[in-house]
Amino acid sequence: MRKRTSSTVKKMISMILAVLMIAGLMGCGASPATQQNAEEASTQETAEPAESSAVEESTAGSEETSGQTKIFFTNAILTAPYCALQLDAMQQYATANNIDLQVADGKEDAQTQLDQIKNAVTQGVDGIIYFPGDEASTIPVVRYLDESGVPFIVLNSKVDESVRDLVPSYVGSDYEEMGKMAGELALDALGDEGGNIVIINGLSGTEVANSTTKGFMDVIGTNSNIEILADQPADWDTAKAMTIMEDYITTFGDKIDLVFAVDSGMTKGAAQALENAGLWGEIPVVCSDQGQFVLDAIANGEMKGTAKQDAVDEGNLAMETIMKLVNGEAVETWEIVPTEMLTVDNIEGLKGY
Amino acid sequence: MTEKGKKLDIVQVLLNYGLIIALCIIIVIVSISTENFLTVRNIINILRQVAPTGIMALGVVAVIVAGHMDLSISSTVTMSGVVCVSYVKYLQADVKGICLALLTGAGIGLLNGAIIANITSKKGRKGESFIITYGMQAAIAAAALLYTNGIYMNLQEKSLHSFFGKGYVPIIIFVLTTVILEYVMKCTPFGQSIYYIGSNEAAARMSGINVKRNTMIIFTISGFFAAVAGVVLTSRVGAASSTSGNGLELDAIAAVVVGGTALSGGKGGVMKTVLGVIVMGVLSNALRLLNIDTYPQMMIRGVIIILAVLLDVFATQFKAKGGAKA
Amino acid sequence: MSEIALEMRNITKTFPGVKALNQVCFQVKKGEVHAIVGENGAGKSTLMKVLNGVYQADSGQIFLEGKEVKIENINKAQELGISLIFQETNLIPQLSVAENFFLGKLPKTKVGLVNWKYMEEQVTSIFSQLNYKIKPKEVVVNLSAADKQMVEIARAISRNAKIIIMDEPTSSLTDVEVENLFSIINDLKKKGTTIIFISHKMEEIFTIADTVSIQRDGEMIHTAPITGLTSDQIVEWMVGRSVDTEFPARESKIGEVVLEAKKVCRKNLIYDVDFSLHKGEVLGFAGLVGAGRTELAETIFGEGKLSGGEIYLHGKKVSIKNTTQAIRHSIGMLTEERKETGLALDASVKSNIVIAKLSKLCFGKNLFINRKAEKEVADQYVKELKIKTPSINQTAYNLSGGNQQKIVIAKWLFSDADILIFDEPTRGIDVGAKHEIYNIMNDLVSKGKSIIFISSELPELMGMSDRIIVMHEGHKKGELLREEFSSEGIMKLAVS
Repeated sequence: MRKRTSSTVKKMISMILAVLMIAGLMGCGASPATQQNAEEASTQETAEPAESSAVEESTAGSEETSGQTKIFFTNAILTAPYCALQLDAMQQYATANNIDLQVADGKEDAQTQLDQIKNAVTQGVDGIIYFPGDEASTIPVVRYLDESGVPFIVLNSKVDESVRDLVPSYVGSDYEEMGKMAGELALDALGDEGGNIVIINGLSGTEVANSTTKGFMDVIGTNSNIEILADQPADWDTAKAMTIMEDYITTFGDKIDLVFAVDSGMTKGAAQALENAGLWGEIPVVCSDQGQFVLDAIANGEMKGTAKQDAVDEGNLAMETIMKLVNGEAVETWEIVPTEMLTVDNIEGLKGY
Repeated sequence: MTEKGKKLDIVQVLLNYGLIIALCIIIVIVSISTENFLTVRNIINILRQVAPTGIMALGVVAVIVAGHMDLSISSTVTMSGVVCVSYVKYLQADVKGICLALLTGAGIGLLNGAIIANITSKKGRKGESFIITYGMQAAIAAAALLYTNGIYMNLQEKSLHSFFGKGYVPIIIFVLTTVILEYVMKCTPFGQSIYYIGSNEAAARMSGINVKRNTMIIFTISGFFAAVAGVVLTSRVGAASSTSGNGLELDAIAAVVVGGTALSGGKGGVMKTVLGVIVMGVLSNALRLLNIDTYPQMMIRGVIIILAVLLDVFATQFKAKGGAKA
Repeated sequence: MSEIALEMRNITKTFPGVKALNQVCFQVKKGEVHAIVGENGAGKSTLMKVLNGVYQADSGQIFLEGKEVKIENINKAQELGISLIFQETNLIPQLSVAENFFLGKLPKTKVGLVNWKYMEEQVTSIFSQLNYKIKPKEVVVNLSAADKQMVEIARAISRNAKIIIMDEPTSSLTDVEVENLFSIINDLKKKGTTIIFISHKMEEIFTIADTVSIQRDGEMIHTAPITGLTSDQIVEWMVGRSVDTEFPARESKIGEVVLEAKKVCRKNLIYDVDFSLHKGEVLGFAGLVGAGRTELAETIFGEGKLSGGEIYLHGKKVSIKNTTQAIRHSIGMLTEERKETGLALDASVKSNIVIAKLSKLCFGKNLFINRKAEKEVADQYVKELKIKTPSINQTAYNLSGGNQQKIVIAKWLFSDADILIFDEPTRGIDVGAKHEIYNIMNDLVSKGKSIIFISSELPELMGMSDRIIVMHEGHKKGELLREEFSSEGIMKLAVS
């Protein structure tokens, strides 16, 4: 009897060990995904030397960190691919310029972010980069930042209109402009005779979803033959977008002339549903960001184009702006991350997410 | 007395089959107002759409019957999905990737189970599974991000892996998992012991049931099923990212509860959960086909969840009253 | 004395499927202590709940001092001077005694603040009437069971209760506390308060009651002055047939040693306890609360960790690490807290019976439960142990305490246990069922099983055991053979 139980325990322990080994493998960077990343990183010429020099600097400077500029960065949600890519760029910028960048995950919660910022201010930082979780609950955070007197910028998503005047500088894309580019792609694809469009939107109530849709609508509004059949949110989720597209196909069938999916992940979902129905390539899909899937699709000729939205550009611009602010230099109230129409001709070397 | 008795019977039937009746009403209304709802293609579509959440719900129903909770399944879906897809995409090792994904899921479940079983063996700490699996959810979500480095992994080529999301395959897997779990829960001593643990854990222990071991096993089942869901989901969508499972745990748990499984444990079951999954799937599909705006859609879904739970509560109360003694 | 304080006339109350009260007529004289007895489910509590406004009768009338009254809710009952004191007290643990007194109608000062001073004075004066000392500011959670009971009684008095109903008030009190309670009841009686006293314990009824009413199956069978009645007569009316209140005789042959404990220790609970259990024997364990009897039994059953000593089964040394292993060694334990650890109340009678050894019902190696065999087994035990249930699919919750206890016994019989530990098997069950359980125990030992019998009721322990071991604070204090049994002897060992 005794033997039997101890052997089950042993079995379980060995299973747990197996799990830990898998976890260990991941941590060691032996996973296929990270291997791929490493390869990509090494092909970029600038990354290598910058990183190694940074390491030296930071080890040398670690004895007297007080000399470094301390920047605190609270991110809306670190687990989003875009944010990860951006954070990477910002950390590289920080090490290259001897900046002490402290990062916190706001978990899409305004209260969490407010607490993090209060902590940072109490501990004493030179500048704060605030990437808001959602627009509506930004008011107390901005008020607090304004009162604290610490230089700060808002990154990526705009804050509530009532407190926008208090923000020294906002670094972010012009989503309306990007929406317009998607609109132009749609106009091109449909031509003068127009047609029916279905929209797969982002999370309702977010600034990105609202502005992008507005820009898109403004442009396609110029052709009165274009009609919007449906506009439903897939909350930036690929699987949800696929489900919605499947149901669009069920409901509207061949009435659909064009699909507008607000981001790249949702475009992938729409593409998958269209492919299963044998319509991928038949019905054009337009998108307005620079996700890896869209870049690949453009390269393959499956899509015509998209709007440029570079996470690395945005991260670097954020670091530059906060440093200018800390050093007392002039900054724009809106430091726009440059965008342009991406087509098969100019996507070479761009990083998607 | 007899007339009253008859009336009671009708109410009882209405309450017992309320969910099926509600499903029928939804189906009738929607098929009148839209032409494409009651087509073979749409029905297959619905089944395919609900398969991943359905498989997750099956895993978590075992945990809920035992009186516990597993919130970590969403991260398990994500983690197993990215593990699987990374092997498929970068190494073209489909079999290895799928096996590793399933093992990862079972491992996360076992870890949950090991922590929770050793805590709940101390009296009166049963509610802890909620927070522990919540913590596990966060930890695994972070691990998935570290693993992928935030990269959105898109699959282009057809492979063995993509087979699991195509055609009838997700539906067949859903049916298979249903049959297996129904067998385990209903026909084996192990399954019966799970119900008993859910009803009264202390009495189960004093009746010689190995509560610790069985608790570990059900969490392992839950993790394993979440991993199966992860493989099916990534195969269906043809992509994986560090956010692909986000929020799915609540969809799965909602389906379990809507189906009539009590969160307090000891009651409910596999077939009820399948019904719950189908009701939620049909409802979402119907709302989209009717092209109802986002906010009303969310509101209708919320109201239906609340009504379904109330219905179940009333049905249980009504039964208890009917059989009560002075 | 002869004035009628309360009369209930033709009270009928039906719940779906059950007639809980059937044309019950009931009279209580002013200033008397009126006991109501009856088996569980006889309708005592329902009748009292009708009187207290918790339930509404389907038909019938209630008269207070000759005037017809309608009691729609508890507040109305309180207004009319009727107070019900439940088995489990109804006080809010986190509040002070004074706050509990004035719950819902806190006295206010002129400016509208709570008048604490007045509250404390009132509470102190009532307790001084009762000759009982409790600080008004004390938080209820810190009080003993007896103190809580007294707070309830004092609260009832403060509300000018003319009729106080006590539902098994002594179930959680010690002997001294019971005596104290009885002297207070006698005082109340002298002041003209009418007491309705519900109890299972015959001695108490004979000590305190003036009149006794017997209820059975929703009907009032008999009301009579207590003088001239015998306990046997009352029990006979309660169960509707003649019951032997003596402990049933048994024929069993005591055989070889099946279980032997040598210097058993459990950390901080049990110290060096030796005993042996023979085949066909009932071995009693006596002791006060906290003597370690349950803890010792748990250790043998694998629920508590053996920190020293050895256990031998049939001469072979065994190590039992958990309950699963105990069952494999054919040990079963009927636990003290039936509802918490004995059975799953919301599981069916059937699954409660078979749960300890499901593997016995299976096809193949634990692959498939044979549902037909399961049903047959459950039916068989229901018949054999006379478990009163409408169906084996009924939830255990709906059964009376005695029948629930029989389910637990059925579970251990089905598990093929040869060594049965019965920890307070008759607690909270009525007289008729107690005797059935004694009979079952006799039957089991005559079939060659052995029973470890833990009980706090000395009469049944002495009536049923072949030997008694007395424990005190984790130590074995003595072992008595049947000829040596006496209450005094056992108590002397138990308190030493």
